[in-house]
Amino acid sequence: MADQLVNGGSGNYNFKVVLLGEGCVGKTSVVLRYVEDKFNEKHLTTLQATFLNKKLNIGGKRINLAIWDTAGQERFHALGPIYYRMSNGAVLVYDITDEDSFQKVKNWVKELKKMLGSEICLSIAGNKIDLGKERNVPVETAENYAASVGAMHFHTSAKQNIGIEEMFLELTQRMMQRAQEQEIQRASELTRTNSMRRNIVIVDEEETSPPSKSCCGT
Amino acid sequence: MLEATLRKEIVRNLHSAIDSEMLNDDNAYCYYIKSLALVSDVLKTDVNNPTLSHKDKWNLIEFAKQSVERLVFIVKKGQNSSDNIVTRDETPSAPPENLVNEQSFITLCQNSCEDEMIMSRYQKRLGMATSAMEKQNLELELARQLVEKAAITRNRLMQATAWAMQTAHKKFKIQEKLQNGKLVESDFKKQQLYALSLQFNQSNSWLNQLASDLALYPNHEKIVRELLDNILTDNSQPVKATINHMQEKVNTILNKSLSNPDADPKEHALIFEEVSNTIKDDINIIQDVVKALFEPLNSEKNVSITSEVVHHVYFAPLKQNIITLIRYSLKDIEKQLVNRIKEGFEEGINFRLTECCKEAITKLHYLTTLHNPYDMLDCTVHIIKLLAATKFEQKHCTSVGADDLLPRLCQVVVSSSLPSICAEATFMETFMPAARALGEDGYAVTMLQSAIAHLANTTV
Repeated sequence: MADQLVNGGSGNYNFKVVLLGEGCVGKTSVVLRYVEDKFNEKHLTTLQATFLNKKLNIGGKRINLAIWDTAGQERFHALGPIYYRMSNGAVLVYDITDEDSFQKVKNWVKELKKMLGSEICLSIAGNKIDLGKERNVPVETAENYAASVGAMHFHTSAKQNIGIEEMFLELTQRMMQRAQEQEIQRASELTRTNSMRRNIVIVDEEETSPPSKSCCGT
Repeated sequence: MLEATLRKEIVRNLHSAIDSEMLNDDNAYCYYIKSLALVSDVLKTDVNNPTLSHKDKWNLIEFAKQSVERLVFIVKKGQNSSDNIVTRDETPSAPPENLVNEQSFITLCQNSCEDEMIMSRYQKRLGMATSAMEKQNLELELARQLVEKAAITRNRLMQATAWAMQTAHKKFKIQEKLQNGKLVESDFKKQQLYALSLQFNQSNSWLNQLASDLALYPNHEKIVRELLDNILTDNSQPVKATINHMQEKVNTILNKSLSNPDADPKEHALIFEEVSNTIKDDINIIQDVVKALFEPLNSEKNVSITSEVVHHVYFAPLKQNIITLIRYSLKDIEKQLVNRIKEGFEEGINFRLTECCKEAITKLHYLTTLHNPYDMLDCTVHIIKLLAATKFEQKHCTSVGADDLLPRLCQVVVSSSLPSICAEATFMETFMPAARALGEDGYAVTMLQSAIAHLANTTV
């Protein structure tokens, strides 16, 4: 269904981005910082942090990002497919001070690759870099892993607003590129079908099958 | 005064005639004749014993006029088909573009006749005029009236041209589809309904007035809704008659399936899939035709209103049966949810409910009473917003993310004691408009679905 909605025809895009990661790694904070530029120390009147929309303008194209937050607790892991179906992109968040949360990201990547293949664009966010002294996931390990699975790695801090804007921008650009490639592919398929249709020659039956003489030796 | 029973009888005959015409049934002719006989009887009685008001008489005569027109059309159609005369060279379901030419021709003829009448009337008055001043005034008045008439004629011609262009564009689109091999059965249905509705709308002055109001104020929601109400609630309208027919068809399938509640849930699921595909096709046809009939309905806002109203009308008589069918197909999940609800109550889950949770439960109950997927989606979004509202604790704001929201929603679902909520969520997910799937509505339904899935698959 996502395909139907992505291309508005006039260069507008609607993308669904799903936030995945273990509980308490900062998924909600990351998305709040990105969309509202707020961190939960501020006093706000209304706040809906589970689903957020962000409108962007890249290269003259209007893009609407629908960012879906998900429950990260282990007991809710089985619900993943309900959330990530029809997604164009996924941000996998882990806490750099928590090795387990990085392992969880690896599990998510495996599952996403298995279920959606290369349809989905992936970004991995090593969050809470403001707590660099307590880091438990080595930078190299994380970056190498991201490269090995075709994802981009970003070092982020929702608290200090580091790396978040760049991460979503880069992800959006990749999703746009993917959507454009799909459009071209679809267009070429259509042209091929049409040209095939044009090449079909209706041949008169009488002309195609001259009476065989060799069969019975007559 | 015209008796209510007589009026009902006449209107019933007219409706039956229109329905028969829609179904290409031969009875249409009989119904029109019957209603004409009734009208003539009433008028005859009125001559001897005058009881009818002027308005009643006018309505009856207008009605008779329309019936005669339809009878002429039916007779002509019958003659054409019996003589095997092909009158149009395009696809049989294409909009009647010759109607446009006919219309502009009639307009021109009418105008020339009217001009002649005006001229002769003025010449008579000129002959009777005594002073030069009076004659001059009469000439000026004649000139003004002729200019006015010319302006009106030009306007009518422009309208006819615009209509012809619109029809040509539609025809071009059909040709394009034909060339690409993409023409499907629903396209033919759309074209048939479109052609019928065009004919109907032409003779409906009230609808024409609304359509011109809409053209003047395309963003006026009240006008849009009034127009849609008019089309979608009047049973004599081809669009509404088609909806009725579609609903009957779906209901027949549903009733057949519901008569066997003990069948395999998978069987029910298959029937539901079939029914939902039929419903989606039906709704698409109706929406496309309505949008094609009234151009201003194609704006982003009006498309959404049109879709909402069409869903509202379509699902009103069907929702209950659809929900029952979904419940049959989700029997196992519902059973697990019932167990979970029982366990929740044994634990005394209700004692820990906050005010917003209690409000969410009330809303969840209210959701089951709604039949329009749009209203249901709005209600679900409201529930999610209630549960994900910001908390203020000791002057510190805590934003609620999905980590907190999902457990809270699970608690609400358990406390609501609504096993049918599985079916309601599936109903919303299935009939959710595509434009809303990625938005807040899609997210809210996904959240509800995931809460149900979590509760149905886990034990305490």
